[in-house]
Amino acid sequence: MKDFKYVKKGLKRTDGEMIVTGRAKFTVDMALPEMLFGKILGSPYPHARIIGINVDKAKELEGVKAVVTGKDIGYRRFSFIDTPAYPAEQTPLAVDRVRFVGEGVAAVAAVTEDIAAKALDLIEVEYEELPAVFDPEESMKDGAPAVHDIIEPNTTTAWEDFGIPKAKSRPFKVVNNISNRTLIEYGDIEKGFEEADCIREDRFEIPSTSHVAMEPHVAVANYQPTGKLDVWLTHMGYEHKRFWLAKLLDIPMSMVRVHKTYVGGTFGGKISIFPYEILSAYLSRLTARPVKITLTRQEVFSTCPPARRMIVYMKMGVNKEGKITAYHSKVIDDVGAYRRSSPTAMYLAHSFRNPIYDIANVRHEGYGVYTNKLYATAKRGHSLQQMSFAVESQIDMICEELGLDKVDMRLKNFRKKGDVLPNGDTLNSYALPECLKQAVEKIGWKEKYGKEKSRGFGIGTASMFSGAHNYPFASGAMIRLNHDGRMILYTGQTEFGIGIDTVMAQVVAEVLDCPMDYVIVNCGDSEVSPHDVGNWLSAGMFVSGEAVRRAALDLREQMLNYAATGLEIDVEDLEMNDGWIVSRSDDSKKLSFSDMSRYGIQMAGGDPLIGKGYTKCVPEVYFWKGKYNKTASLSSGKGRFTQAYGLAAAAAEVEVTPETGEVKIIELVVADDCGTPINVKSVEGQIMSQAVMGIGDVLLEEVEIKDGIVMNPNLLEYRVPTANDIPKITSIIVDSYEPNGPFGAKEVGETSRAAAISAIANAICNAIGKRICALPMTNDRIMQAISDKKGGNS
Amino acid sequence: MKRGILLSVNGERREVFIEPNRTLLDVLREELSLTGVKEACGRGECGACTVLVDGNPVNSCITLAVEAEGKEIETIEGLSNGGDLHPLQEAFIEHHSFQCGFCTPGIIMTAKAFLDRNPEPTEEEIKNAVAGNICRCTGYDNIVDGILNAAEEIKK
Amino acid sequence: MSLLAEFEYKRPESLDELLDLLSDFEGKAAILAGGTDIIPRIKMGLKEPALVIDIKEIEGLNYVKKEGENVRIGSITTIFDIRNNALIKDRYPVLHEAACLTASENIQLRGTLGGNIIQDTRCVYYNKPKEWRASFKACFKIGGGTCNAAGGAKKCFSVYCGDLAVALISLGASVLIMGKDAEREIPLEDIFTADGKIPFSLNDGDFIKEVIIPSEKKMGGYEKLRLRKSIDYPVVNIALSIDAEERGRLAVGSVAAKPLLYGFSSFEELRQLPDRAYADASPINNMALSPLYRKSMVRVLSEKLIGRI
Repeated sequence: MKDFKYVKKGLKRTDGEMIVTGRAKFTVDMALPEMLFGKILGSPYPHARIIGINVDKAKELEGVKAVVTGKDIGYRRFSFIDTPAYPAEQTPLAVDRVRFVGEGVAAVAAVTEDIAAKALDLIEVEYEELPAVFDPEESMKDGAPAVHDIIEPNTTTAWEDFGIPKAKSRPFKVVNNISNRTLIEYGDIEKGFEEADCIREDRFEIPSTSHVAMEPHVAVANYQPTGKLDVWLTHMGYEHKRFWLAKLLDIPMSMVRVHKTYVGGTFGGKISIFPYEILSAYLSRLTARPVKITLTRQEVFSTCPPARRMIVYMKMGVNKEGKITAYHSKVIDDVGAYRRSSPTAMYLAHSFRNPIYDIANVRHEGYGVYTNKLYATAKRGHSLQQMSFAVESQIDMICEELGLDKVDMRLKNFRKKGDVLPNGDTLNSYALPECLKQAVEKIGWKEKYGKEKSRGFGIGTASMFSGAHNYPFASGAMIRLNHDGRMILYTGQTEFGIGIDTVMAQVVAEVLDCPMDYVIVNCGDSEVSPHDVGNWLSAGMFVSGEAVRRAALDLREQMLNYAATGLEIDVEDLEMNDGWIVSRSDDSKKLSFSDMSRYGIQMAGGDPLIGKGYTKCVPEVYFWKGKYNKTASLSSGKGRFTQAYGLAAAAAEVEVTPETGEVKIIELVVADDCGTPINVKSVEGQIMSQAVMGIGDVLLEEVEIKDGIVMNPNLLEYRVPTANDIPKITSIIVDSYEPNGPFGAKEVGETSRAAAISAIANAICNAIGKRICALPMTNDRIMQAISDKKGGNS
Repeated sequence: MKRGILLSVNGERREVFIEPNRTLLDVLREELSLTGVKEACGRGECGACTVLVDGNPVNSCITLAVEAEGKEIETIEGLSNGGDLHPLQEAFIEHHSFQCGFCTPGIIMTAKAFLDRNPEPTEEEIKNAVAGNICRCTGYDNIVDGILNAAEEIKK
Repeated sequence: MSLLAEFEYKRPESLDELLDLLSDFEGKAAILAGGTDIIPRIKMGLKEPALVIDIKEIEGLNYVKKEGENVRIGSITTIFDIRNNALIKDRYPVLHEAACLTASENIQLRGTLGGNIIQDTRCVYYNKPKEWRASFKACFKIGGGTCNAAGGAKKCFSVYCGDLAVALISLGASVLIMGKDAEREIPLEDIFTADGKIPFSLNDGDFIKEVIIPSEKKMGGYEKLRLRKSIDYPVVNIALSIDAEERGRLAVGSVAAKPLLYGFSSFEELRQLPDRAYADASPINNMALSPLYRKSMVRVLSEKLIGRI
């Protein structure tokens, strides 16, 4: 393999100067002339019928420009998933019934935020409280209060709009509050358990955690007299946003422009569409003025979805040799008031862990269950960390029962490079065994495990897609050559902190062998950029990066062909070097990129030289009509999922103070197989970021919900780690070279967190000699486990 | 009741006509368009809004603008001298000390005040100094590196 | 985005001016120094002062000085200055350690001694914005008749979570209180009412001018259990001070509206105190971590602290 010039380097961020000078404009910084400020009134009840809303007094307040209620907007339903089987059920404002505390019932636009807030106080809402249900397992029982009855879909669902008329949209009758089901099976699970020498059944509980993106949720909408809607959003991909804004406001999608802004973090929490975004657009159209809605931190915590709460019933069978013979997971996803991405999550709960262990007999059941709580969504790994915690905990428990070495046992069960998964995905790159070996070596596992009292060691594994099969997982990119020889790259990727602008410029610079500052990246503007998946399910580099690489190759070929004509030499004799096209045999024969631009326009009929590239995540899956529809099924797990898996293993050493239950992490090592690291510093940053988030997940973080109310909706009571809470962390990049990825790259942003969580959790349990089957492992829970004479094993 | 107050921001005299209940954060952002000052919690729990008042870091979201009358206010916008970046800004770019960048202005201003009072810090002292500033992206390691390196650069 | 209710603002330059304002506004005034406790409370609608009095410009309130038999600390001395004061570090390790562990360094630079001492009591049902509290009945502390944390309770269970006061109480410190017509010096522990609803016995016109600590050097230390190593309030905090004759005080914070206080006159007596404190502490489920755990940590941390000193 030839040496890279720009790729696989730790180059500086191209937007660094903007960030460190405070000049980067985030959506919260947007201000437009005549802009109004919106506020949303939330329900104080978890479940109630709206008898009436009186907005007269609010409307009379000076400075108030509009007040709307659910009745004004009506039943325009949206969701993350909107298919004929699972039609969308959420409305921008509750129309006749509220289903969680904080659900919007009315919205105001006023000339100042202060007046808008005062107007909310003047709105009188009469509620009739209804019985509410909070526990998902209670919710599934006969006779539990029904969170939904029959869900009437919009005229068409999103899937029909996308062109997949598998079935017509139809009403969805909710039975026992079950919102969605997944059943994935292969092999013979009964036979598998018969072959086992040790079978364990355990129940794990994982709470909601919050993304805590530092920029709060905010939207600015400006509905123009021409019928065009301009929006500035804090988000992670504009396709979902503009699709839903167009659909809910009945305007053509091309008339919705999602502008580029800097985005202050997302971690999955700003995916798809939110009521405040729709309401800002709706109020802007109503008032013919720009409208900005900025949520307070309390509102972010109480009304925006956190990560999914899951109860995982794990049953695994392992034989004496340490081979897993059967695996049965039953997951109850407490979706809250709206199902949002639960059908996806319940299938990902299987498929993200699928590439790790080679298990012949598998049954995975997933149930989304409605409760009267804040709805939930994806967060960095979307089910991966919940499942990894459950599976990796149970594997440790089984190893302890059978007296197996925890490292060897895992190595024995890992899949191998080249394996074809039951759904047809092939592991073209797979360095998980290497990751684990390097992690345990760095932590000193062999020398130290079990040697010192109160010290504990743990390991964990994880894997993740690099983008997925389903719509809209395709990306296009364009590169336009300018007169000065520099290029503008148009990509629909969204920079929210991952350094995507920089790595995309690196890809272009590498292909065209030109200085980094020759590439100007224009990303995340829906009116300018071609179709793009957005940065979620870790598709950014693998899918969009490949589209960018192909666009660069396309431009390169065009430039070389013209250069060959211009220089009157064979194209084979030409190469690019530092912004020049040079003859290999005679370096006096050369043309600059700037020459090429002028040549194209003057000599080649006005050709401005635009490179175009595109790709899909899984090329052989068609998301189209009839027999072409080969999309995987979320409910049965059949069909291709992704083209490459990112993998990670982590090892942790901890010390637990037996008198207080305080945990001190001595060291945490995370080894990540991300293929080629396009930007080494960015990749290390992603690993480090996830390691620290994982520390928060295990030790601190839980969105505490009591009787439907978020009890810790602020950054004092919801604790994310501070600089003083960070132990020694080592990140190891294990480059497996993914043949389908751009320069061998694949996923990196979401795997390490789950590996770190399971490693730390296992280390704590190892240190105290007791098993804790719930997160977070706060001091009091640890002390409870230590003092619990009966429970756990060691 | 609204009153006119004179603020000195980044060395410039700025007059604003405001109610006394307006926070310094609000006035810097809304009245003076200094949007490098960021609000993330509104209650002094995260440090994103940190600016310097007479050289000391304050959470501007829990500081009244009237409190700062007659004092020197420094924001991220005033840190670079024309086009020349402050060593902290240079070091933050060099060491990938930010990802999304939303908490960055607050952390850089905290670090600025810290290095002014402690020009030769240890790693532990740096961590403690920025431990009131929440960063959700970086995991802090690169922030500490950036500040350490900036300290050395300033010493030169 | 979080909005403050309207109020007037004054910045007196003398103590007399301050005392006049306090008496003119009869309980409708709030004193502002560092603002780290009062401004969030105003933002959440927990306090609605008609007047905010900024005392930072008042001459002569910022000092640490030895005077005769006492060390006196002015009430607007910052927590950071207390932490870095050589006299305090040398004589009162308990206070130095408490200052080091208070909130975060930036808050230490802003927050003052007086403000830290008279910070309000806390409860997960109380320290929240108005919109959030709409789901609950008005509690005792808001002026209503229920306790949302302990259903059926007849009183407010909010908890005093200050760091410095607990350390100072262990040192036998007193406070000098200025009123409109008189000043008085009372033991610091006596400003606490033990009632979460109105945690301090100060009158509307009162102002804590300084803290007075007997100048004798005291061995001692401070243990603070918190979930993060910065920012957080204590889950449980214990302060211990011992003089040369083995006499001293152990104070326990964050389990009730008033710190628990135990005097002892020998190590023998001191060794009994963890059990007594454990028996006396009865936290309820209104803070982070379970009440059972917090109660048991009272003994564990007291023992740890005694062992350390």
